[in-house]
Amino acid sequence: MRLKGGASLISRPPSFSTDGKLLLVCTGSSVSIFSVATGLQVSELEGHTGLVTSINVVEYTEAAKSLINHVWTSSLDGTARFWNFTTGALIKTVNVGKPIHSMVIPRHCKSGSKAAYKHDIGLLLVEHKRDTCECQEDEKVSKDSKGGNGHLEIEPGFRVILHNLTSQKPLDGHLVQVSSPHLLICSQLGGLVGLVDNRKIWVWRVSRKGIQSVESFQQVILHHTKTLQALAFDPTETLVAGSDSSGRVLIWKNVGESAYVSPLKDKGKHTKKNSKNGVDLDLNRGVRGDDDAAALSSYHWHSDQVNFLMFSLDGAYLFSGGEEAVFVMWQLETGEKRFLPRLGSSILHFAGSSDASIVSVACADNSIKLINLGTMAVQKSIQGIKPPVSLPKKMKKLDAKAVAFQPGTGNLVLPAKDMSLQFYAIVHDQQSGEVQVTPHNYVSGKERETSSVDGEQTNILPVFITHVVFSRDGSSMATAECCQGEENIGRGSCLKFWRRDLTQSNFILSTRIEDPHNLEISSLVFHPNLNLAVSCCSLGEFKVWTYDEGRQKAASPSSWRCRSVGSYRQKQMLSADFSTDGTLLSISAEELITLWNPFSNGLIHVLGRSSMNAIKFLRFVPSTHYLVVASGGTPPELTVWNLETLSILWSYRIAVEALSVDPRGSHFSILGEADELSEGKGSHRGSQALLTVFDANSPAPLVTWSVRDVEESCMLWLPSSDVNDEGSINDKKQDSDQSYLVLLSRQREYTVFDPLTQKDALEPASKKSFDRVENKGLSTFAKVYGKAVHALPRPERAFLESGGAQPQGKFLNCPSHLISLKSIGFSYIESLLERKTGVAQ
Amino acid sequence: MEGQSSSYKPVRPKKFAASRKPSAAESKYWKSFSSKLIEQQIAAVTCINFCPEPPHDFAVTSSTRVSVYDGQTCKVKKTISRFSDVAYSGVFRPDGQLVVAGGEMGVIQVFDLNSRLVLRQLKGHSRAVHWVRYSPSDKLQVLSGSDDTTVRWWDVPTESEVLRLEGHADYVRSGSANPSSGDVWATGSYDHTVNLWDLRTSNVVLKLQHGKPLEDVLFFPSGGLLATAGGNVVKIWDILGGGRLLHALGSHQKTVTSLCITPPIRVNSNDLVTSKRLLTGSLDGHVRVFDISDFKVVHASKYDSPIMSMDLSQSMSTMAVGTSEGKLFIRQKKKVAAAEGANKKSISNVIYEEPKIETVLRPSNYRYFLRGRSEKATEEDFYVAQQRRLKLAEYDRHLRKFRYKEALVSSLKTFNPTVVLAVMEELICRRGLISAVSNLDTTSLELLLDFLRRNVTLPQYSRILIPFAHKVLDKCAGDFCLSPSILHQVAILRDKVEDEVRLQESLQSLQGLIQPLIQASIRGWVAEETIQVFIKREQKLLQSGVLDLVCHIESLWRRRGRGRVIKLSF
Repeated sequence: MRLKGGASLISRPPSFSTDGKLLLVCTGSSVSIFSVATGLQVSELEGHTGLVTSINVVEYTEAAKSLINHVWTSSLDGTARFWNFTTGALIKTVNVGKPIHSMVIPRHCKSGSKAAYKHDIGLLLVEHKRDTCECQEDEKVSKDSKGGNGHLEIEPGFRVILHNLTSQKPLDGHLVQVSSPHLLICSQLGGLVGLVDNRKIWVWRVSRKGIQSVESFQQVILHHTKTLQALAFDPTETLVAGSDSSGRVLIWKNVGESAYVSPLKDKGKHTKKNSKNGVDLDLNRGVRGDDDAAALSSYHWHSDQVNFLMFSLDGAYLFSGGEEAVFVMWQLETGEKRFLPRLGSSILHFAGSSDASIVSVACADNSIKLINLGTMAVQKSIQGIKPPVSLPKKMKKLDAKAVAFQPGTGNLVLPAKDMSLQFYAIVHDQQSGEVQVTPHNYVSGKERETSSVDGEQTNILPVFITHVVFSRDGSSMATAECCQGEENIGRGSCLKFWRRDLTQSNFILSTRIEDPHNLEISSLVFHPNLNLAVSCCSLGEFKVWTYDEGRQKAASPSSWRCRSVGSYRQKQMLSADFSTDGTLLSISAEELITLWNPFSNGLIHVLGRSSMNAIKFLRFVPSTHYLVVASGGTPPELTVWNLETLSILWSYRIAVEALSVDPRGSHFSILGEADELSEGKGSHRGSQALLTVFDANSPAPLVTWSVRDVEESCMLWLPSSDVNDEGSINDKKQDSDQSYLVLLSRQREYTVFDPLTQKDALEPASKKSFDRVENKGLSTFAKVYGKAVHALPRPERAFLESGGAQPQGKFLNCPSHLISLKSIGFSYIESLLERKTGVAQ
Repeated sequence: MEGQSSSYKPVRPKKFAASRKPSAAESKYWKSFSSKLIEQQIAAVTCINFCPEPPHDFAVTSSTRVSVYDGQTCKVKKTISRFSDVAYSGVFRPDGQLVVAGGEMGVIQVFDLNSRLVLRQLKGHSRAVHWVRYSPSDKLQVLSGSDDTTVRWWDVPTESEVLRLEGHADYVRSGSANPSSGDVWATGSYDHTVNLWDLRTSNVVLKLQHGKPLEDVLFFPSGGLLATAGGNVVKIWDILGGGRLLHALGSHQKTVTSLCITPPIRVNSNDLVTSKRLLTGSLDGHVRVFDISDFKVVHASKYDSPIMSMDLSQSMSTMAVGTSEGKLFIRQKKKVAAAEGANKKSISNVIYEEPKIETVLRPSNYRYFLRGRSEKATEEDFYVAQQRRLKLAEYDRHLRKFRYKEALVSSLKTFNPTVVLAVMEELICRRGLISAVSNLDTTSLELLLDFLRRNVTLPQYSRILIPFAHKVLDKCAGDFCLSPSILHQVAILRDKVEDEVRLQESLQSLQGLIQPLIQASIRGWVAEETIQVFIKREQKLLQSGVLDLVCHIESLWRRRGRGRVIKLSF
């Protein structure tokens, strides 16, 4: 078991618990439970082996059961699971056999038909191998032989099927087959289930008699001319709202009136509906084709794609949000709107709680924001690791250092799209700070409008951070950012030096240098001991920056100054590094390695080989006399130089994607694409790569790991002391010179492990130490009469004390409002039983 | 924190690093003497003398009169014009009660400052008296130097000459009393020598060869050092060491006319040590400030005409500089002046302070209903921070509403290039700059071209502005015919860019000259492959951009010139 983290919080919509005090969030293969009051994680449901795709909190209407927190989750591992999320206990696992992309469990609340509860019927959107030639039976066969390579050409289709979750049996047939997975939406009362499919909306009304088979559903299709994105039902189940990619919100009224009502021959309901809407609606007004709806009205404010729609609990308001990062509240009667603008990034999902004043939205920067609707303000923000910024291809050949560790803290520092640096504590798996590098206002759609002149991907930001480096003591930080410009205007880079403010423990901008080099900065490195930094540029020069002590006192905005500029035969300088003691500066000059004296600016020596490949990475191996050099081109090379003899120690012909050096030992690791493997797999995507750890003294690799999807992933060494200073883990013996390797994937999920010893690097328990601080409000009773004095019955306490072991530690180890009476009872009795057996033995 | 994230972040004007100067604090200190007023006198200001007593009034001698200015307000307080010919060297008695002045006639006159009456006339010099000073130790004697090459020691009450010192061979135009001993005086003469007199023996104690006609002589407050100004050189002599030359300061281009030493000042507010500065004023129009610990220039300021005289008040609050064209520059520190004013007030109020009548407010009084309204919070009170509304500039308001063109135009209207550049960078980040400059109306286009004309050649803006100018020329080429004023702007822009190209060419030829020299000097001690000293690579880049731009304008010009003949000479 290694330490993992950084899972996306926003892959699926979050969900509130019944009482609205907890928020359940899909995080990878587990469900994280956050407290709404504090915004901190309180527990986690672990068990799924695949990505969790949906959360369905079970609502019980009986008063006795209303405190029990049960939830159904579905996952891509083909199972649906039933949990008690107060205790974290898994109650039931239903194996469906196919990856489930979405699941809803329609409820029958009308007149509380108890029969329905006995059979929870789930509607599942499952992956299905679409094959037009084969009929249903054959499909079942192919399903069984899943994993075989014979069906690789067939695109997966998706079917909505029914599954009896109580008896764990599937019902025959399917409702519909669609080509792409969207979320299944269920109305609040459970009478309607909908699914968006390209330009159609499928709506099914659940029969009042309960679900027996596919025939229990009446199906209505609504059409639109544009691709639809989101879908919502109002609480009275008369309105269907849909949104399209152009930002329009469409509301169909009385959907499926003829289809639903006429078979039921419920004329009373028909008239009731018309009177409720207050207007005698013309039939089919504005409705496209022969769709079964009474009227269609459209609301247009959004200029861009709308990602979610949701009606408020009383149906008076409609919430919407999309790419503009504006949360909009529509009052349907009057058409008035209230806005909560500038949420930071586009809004993806929405969840409403039973507490009507609080809703949560999931934003694309991997955060979940809890919004108070009364004040229209963000109350709490649950921030995960921010999504990565993709650099253009041109930058990839440079020695980019966009990810770093803050020395001494174990914080991972990552650039984000909003031009900020996120400080992320990897042990706690939460954000610990943020530094805004450049003031930035979110503008929707600008990423997409990027002109693709260079033929690169169009999702490149106009400005992005290319380098983040820290001085060894962590008191200074340097960042380099690159501006792509607009049609060649304003193209350039900016170098910024930051000083750590000890009182507020954040970074303050001390110097800003516009255009330090005429091209993008290719490498940036701090001197290990002095206030000295070196930046180099592919134009063939490097600059030495020094810190001016006197200027800092005068509170000058420019305390860093360029001391000297150097070049070597106008050759491209892509990488630079200082030796551990800081007496030697090594800079690559195309295929040569130049060694300089950083104090006198003198060129000491030039190392060169016959190959003409430009050097990409160049690092000193600490506590040795070795220099690791990796060059690209054909053939690629990895060379270790001995600087005492100025000769090559050993060399490999291996392509290196990333190179990282252990700051404590003589180890270094490389990340290289394994060409043979990927060629063998043919068109297999996400090519395999090898992570190899070397000791600089010997060419034999120490450990090799196979890593998938190496592109844009990062690899860093983290001194173990940085992690252990947090005081959370490992009371076992610790070598002070031990380091962990951190692998950060493109999705920003990270793994921390000790590459050398195969044993567990970090105990998983460390992650479970959630902050349990909870500011619970006073109850009405307590407000009126003051706090009641709780006293345990005396005999019980005496009994517990005599028991030696403290059983209450196990089941009281969670916030008090989470403890259900039932679980207390069970675990209490269990603790008693354990004690007795102990005595018996 | 949550609230912060949802507020609009305004555009900040761009900041550029200040140019490097060895001691920024020093310059800041001397720049804090803000120019209070410039008085035009009748003729050259030959002498300025500050009264040692507060409020440090000062006497300005020019033509046939001596004007006494108030040290606080810098307004003329008194004017003494009882001279039949040109007056020289109007100086205060150390207690500030009397003023003594020499003159072209050779008569030294002593005036009462209040009544402006001539109290005494000291007659004896046969030629003009250019220098006269009261003895710093008593109020009764003056020393004068005259063009008849003599220096005379006068007893003022009896109007009699006590001593006649003859040792100079040419005009005596300057002198100074030794602060540590009232009997030792130094006088400088046009015979290139400085004589040190001991009035007790009436002998020349020491003779210093300056080498140039002496314009001013100044003892340091310790009395051990003497500064002499003659020609464009200021020399510092060690008197106690027997007249040893310590330093020769030759940083002026023309004759140094006046010397001045400050009391110990604290240049940097958080500096603990105080130090003195030597100020020199010269006919080349510069005032230079020297640190007397190492005699290095720490600050220099330029005046537009030759400086004849200069003095500083003892409190370091006021500085007066007189020029040969008769201009009197009075510079005063704002803060110090205000503080002194307050100080003075409190002293005058000590004598009689009106007792405050405590009135009990009753509802019959109108003020009863207003009581407590102007109550200030005490220190221990808890402040509830009021939510301050972010004040947004006009361009910010437009940016917030995504009106890019309006934002650009309103930023141009500020005429502040740092603001315009910041707005342009924000627009580039939003990819809206091109759309902002397309379809501009005539007045906005004029504004834009005017801005470009002013700033396109400045190196710190050129990175953005040169490609931007290309784009603007492309986009707006069709609009150039619309208005003659735009045509005019384009023509000026072209001229400006052409000038810049010429400058660049000369710079590059200069660079070509320097490069081999530097290479040669480097080769002396290290091998060929060594760090090249960076001269001005930016200039090179800038030049290529500018050249393109001038071609661009030229081509546009030619294209539209084909239609009808345009006069290019505006």
